Amino acid sequence: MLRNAVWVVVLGSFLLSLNVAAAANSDELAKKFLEAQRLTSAGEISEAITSYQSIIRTNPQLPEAYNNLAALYLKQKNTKQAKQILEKGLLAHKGYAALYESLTAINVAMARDAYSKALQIDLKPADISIASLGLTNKQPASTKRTSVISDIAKQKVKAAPSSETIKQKIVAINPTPLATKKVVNAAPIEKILQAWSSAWSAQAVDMYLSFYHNQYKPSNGLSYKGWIQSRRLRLKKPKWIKISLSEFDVKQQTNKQAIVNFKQLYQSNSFRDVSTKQMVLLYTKDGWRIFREKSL
Amino acid sequence: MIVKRISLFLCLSMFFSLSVAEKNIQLAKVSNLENRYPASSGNVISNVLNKLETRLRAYPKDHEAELLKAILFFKSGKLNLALEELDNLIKKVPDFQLAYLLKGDLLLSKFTDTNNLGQTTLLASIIPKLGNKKRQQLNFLREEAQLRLQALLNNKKRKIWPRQILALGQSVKKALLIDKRANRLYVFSRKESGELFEEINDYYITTGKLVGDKAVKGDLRTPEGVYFVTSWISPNKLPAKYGIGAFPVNYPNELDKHNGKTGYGIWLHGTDKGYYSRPPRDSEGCVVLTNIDLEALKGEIKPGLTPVVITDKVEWVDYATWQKERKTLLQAVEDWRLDWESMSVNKYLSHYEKEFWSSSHNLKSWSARKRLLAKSKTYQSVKLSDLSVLVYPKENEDKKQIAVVRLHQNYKSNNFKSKMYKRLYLTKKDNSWKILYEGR
Repeated sequence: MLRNAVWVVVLGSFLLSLNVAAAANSDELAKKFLEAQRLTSAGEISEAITSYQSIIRTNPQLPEAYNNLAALYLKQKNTKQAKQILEKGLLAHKGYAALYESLTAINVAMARDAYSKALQIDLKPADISIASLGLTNKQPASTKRTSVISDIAKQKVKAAPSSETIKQKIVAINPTPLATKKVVNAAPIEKILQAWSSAWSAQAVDMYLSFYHNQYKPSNGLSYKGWIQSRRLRLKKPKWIKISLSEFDVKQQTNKQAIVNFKQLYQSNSFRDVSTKQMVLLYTKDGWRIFREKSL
Repeated sequence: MIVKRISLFLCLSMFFSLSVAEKNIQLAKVSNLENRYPASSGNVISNVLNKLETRLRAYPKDHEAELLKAILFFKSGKLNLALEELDNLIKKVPDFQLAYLLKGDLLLSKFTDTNNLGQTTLLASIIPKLGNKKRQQLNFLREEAQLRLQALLNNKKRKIWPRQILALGQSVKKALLIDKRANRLYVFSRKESGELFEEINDYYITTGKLVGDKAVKGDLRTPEGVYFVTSWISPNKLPAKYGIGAFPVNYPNELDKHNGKTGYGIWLHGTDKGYYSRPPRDSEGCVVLTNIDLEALKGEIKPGLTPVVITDKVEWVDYATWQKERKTLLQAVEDWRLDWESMSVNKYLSHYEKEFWSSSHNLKSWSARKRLLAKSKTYQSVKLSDLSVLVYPKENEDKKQIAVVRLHQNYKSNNFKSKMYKRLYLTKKDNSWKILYEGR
């Protein structure tokens, strides 16, 4: 049953990227999005809100817009509205709504199981099934929502904690897929390096190497081939590796090249090291690739 | 991605913002948490997490520390870490009911309100069908969670010197200190130098069903006072509900008997199979530990030696106060010894309280006997060693203040020699400690 759920999740993210990629063709949308972001960083919150609301009206299936709008509501300490808009965002996309519902059903079933152990009672295991979805659904989801979510929502007895007591932060998402040609500057170098560090942490050598430019020059004087060989050995040797990156500082960025400094914490079963790194990334037809890497 | 940065303690206090209050629970402190832990930040969380890690290093089976870690992760929005922690915990301790309750809440936290432990809408829809017993069981679990968490938070803030334990003899090494109201057992150790230190780990315990000091047989209360472990009873001689075994203590002690208290069979014991822990107030007067904790403590507890001081509420004091109390009591015993050696019977007898008693004497007959004996002495020497000094909690002004001193006495005179362990009960009269009871 859980395996099914995983497949549904995979399918769901596929649907989303299709959807956004299609939307990204619209230059006008990209412009509107950038404008909303500009308003946000200029501190013109209510204008930014209006502009995201208008984006949502014309593109009701763009999750980034709901997310960023919710972040703005939170800035205004309006937790309730932030929550509503996030839920609306989930439900607006039929694929996501289905995922959300399936996930809820599974969590409820697991929670029932946990509660029955907590109180040593014999609860019948909940019946959960996940309906299979076709790929054709491009129209917005119907407004009629089903079972679990609405059940939980209806049963809600207590109001959400007031915004004074909880400080929440929603990280604004850059509209990555929009960043094809014109809006290179919005491309998240940081995100790419996080992905690079995840591959390293997972000791997935091939994936790790795929982040490097095919003309990458190792800083220690090794040949490219020698370097690849030594990386293969180094990544595989420890029992586990954990890389954490922080303090990103993009020194310079054009459409073609970016220079970024960051702090890297390397931990493995046998070694621990903190260093400051500088990387030069080049923009290729496959996206950003690491061209130079050195410790400062 | 949603990152919640939550004012932790505000949130923890909300976690228990209580409709638990159906029963006789002391909840007052919880509402104050807010004031005592002003809305602060990641720092506080990481401090507390560090503390829990320290506990786990000292005692890897500190499953409470793991549960609390999960709560901290949960309440600071790190749901995946919380779930991972709980799943590991459940794997190790598959009968930890509280861990399951938390897990249920955690799983629903993305979809529904989980500010109060065990009050999700799902649980609310299940519980009514199950009847009062289960409803009560749920409340017990919530109380247990609250007490465990509160102990962690209070430990950070409280003073660290217990007025109840002022000295431990070198043969004693460890003492157990129980706070009934906090449902907590603390362990103190003696350093080579004679100073005391508190062990890093303290333990959740279950005490008597009813609050208050024990007075009569069957009153379902845990006695308060200074006791000593008398023996070890292995599990094959006991019903299953005692878990991995039991350490009886000497209730009723000399003072209890003198005061007409009745009852017997006050033990420290383990937990029935199929349960990790029991509700906070669930025994008939015994002190119940989890089997895992009792197993860890077993080697430290020595029948005949280990003191168990049981209080309603431990008096935590600062070092200066503790040292002062310690010096005053040790000096009182030393003055008694000096005056005894000095051969002046009057001075010696001035250390005894009017209501003094021993196994066969009151003050009058004791004095007469001592005066008679004194006439035959030309020389006497009294050496004391291995002193433990334990103090009853000071509950109210009109109640007597009592201290118990256990010591080794080496007596020599021109016509008599003896070596023995003694127990003295002292009481504070007009600012000086007088002997109330003397016996072996």
